[in-house]
Amino acid sequence: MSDDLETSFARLREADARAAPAWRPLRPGPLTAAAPARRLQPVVSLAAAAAVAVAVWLLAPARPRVADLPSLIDHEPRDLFATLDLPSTDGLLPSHLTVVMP
Amino acid sequence: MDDTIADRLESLHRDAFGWALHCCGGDRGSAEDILQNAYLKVAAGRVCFAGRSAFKTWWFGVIRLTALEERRRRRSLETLVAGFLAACTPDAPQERTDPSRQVELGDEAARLRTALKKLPARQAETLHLVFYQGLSLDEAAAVMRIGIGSVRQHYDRGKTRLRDLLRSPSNDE
Repeated sequence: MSDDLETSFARLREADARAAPAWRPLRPGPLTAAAPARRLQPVVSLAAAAAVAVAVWLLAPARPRVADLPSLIDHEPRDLFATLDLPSTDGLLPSHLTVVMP
Repeated sequence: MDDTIADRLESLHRDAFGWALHCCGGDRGSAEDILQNAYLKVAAGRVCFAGRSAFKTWWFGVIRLTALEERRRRRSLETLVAGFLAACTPDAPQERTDPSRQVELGDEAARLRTALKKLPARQAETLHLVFYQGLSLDEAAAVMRIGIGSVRQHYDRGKTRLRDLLRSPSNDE
């Protein structure tokens, strides 16, 4: 038989035995609760994390964009007081609304 | 858990830890995790001893499968990250025996552990089961779920290779 290897393995065995954790009787409660978590596949975990990220992104309140705002000034810019030179359209108003400047 | 089973598991606890330690390459934390998961399987009734083999043979088979599952789970999780890190750090240091662990083990035991890591997995498993655990070749074959002929081959080749490695000074790295 291989005495040299047996001796070496016996020493390794002794060293491991000294490092072995103490025997702790198993308790059914926490054990059964912990088991499923350890069996969770990484693919499932990643899929769940991706689903949560998408849900958060979809449910987050949308910020208004500048392009979506209604335009308040939609006519062409022109010189200040330029409209004074245009012909008055007051003649189209009813007589009681016509402003007469003194 | 059945008291009889619990008593048997307790009597094998240290040997089972040694086997778990071997199955995860000597990493103590992983060995404790693997052993705990194997205990959980028994406690939850996911594995049952049917009496078709010796109890120790059956229990070591459960630990071995649990270690394989754990390794597969970690590998699939780490593939992307490890690949990325390996690409980023081409000069990543090779795995070495932790110095504090080496002191704890003693020089000879640490050298043996290092040499076992260099053997093909099946050869190392066979030698561990036979020399460390004191199983027969038949029992080792049952634990490893392979034929007795293959185990005998792994045993013979493994012994020769292990002796060479233990004699070689480069094994001290």
